[in-house]
Amino acid sequence: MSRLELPAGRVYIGWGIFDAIYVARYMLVSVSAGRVPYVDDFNSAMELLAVHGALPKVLATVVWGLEISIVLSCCFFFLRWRTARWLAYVQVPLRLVLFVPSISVLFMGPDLKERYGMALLLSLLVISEGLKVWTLWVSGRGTHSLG
Amino acid sequence: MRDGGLERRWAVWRSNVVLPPWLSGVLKTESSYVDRRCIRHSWIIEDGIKAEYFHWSRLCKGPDMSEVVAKGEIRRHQLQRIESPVFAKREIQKALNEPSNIRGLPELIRECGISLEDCQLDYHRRRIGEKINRGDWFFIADRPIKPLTSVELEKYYGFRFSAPPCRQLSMARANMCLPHGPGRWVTRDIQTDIATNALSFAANWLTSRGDEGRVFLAEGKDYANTFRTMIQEWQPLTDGERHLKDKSVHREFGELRHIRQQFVEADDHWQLSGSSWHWPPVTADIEYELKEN
Repeated sequence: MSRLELPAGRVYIGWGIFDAIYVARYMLVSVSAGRVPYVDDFNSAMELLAVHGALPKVLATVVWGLEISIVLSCCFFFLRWRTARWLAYVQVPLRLVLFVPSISVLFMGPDLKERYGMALLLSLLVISEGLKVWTLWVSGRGTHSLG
Repeated sequence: MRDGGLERRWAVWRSNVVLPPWLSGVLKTESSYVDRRCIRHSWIIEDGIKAEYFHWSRLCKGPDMSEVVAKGEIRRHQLQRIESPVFAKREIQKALNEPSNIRGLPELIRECGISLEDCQLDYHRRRIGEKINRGDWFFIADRPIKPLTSVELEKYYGFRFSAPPCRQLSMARANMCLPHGPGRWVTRDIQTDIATNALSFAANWLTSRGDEGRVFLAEGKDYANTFRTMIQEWQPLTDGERHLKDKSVHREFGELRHIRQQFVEADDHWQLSGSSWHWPPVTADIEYELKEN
């Protein structure tokens, strides 16, 4: 029986595009709201975290860790570095916990909960991450060149 | 008569219903608590003279008085009488067979939401033990196995314990209280309710999923409905605040108050929008409590 093979290069570009859409959309909306992307959010978060307890600090570390890793994985996917695959695996639990699907177009727009309902939101999230892990794993096990 | 002598005779009289010789003229007696530790004994002798005796009592517990007190009351006690939680937990779990033998223990049991009848169950014993471990309640003993040090109290339980300033008063008086006086509330600690706040953050996170163009926890609404408890201590006025001495209410120094605050968007008087995210009831780190008149 022939084994399913996916060209790693295309898979990388595909996931890179989804990450790029996520980053670009964040930046566009942030700029259109008159803010400097990341910088204003970081400063604002620091002020609020100073008067709250340890829990939001831990949460903020996780949230910012994921945000930064998405920017990095976007770059790594486009550069077709193998590190991108491992970074993507590390992102999976964070994405599941923080509701940030790899297929970033899924959760765009307001009132997500009302639009999809909780069950569908969770299903889409899990399917999205499952698909990513599966495609990266299948494309990574072969000898396909990344170039 | 040395301190503590009278109440022993009283106890004999109460238990054996035999009047001691020095009380042979008593027609009517009564005893009542002035506060938790002070008992007033009074009696009317045949010639109509009423006599009263105040005692900071060992009466209820006999010569070796032990007690369980909440964290907020610990400053009323001498540092060398506060048992280390390691030994306290063992003593208290042992005492659960007869909770009424230790003053304050029924209150501790009730605070855990346990009935006195059920307190011996293993699960409940563990819960009560956890309260002691966490330093929510302390065991006060006359001869603790290992008294807590002030360093341990500050390091592990987050508050400073100074020696009672009324050291020069009699032992009974020193056991009884710390001095009252005009003062101010000073913030000692701010505790957050992690379990409740985790739920609030989860709800806020889900709601924020529709907000694109910003990172979570960068806006006040991401912290909505989280709770914290501000703990303030009544401290003496400083030299620069002496002018408030007559206007200030009098309280026991070292008394603690707990203010539970919720982070919400509420009206204010200093922003153009008229509302902002803050912690009502708004409480300054240093607050003065003045007499109403």
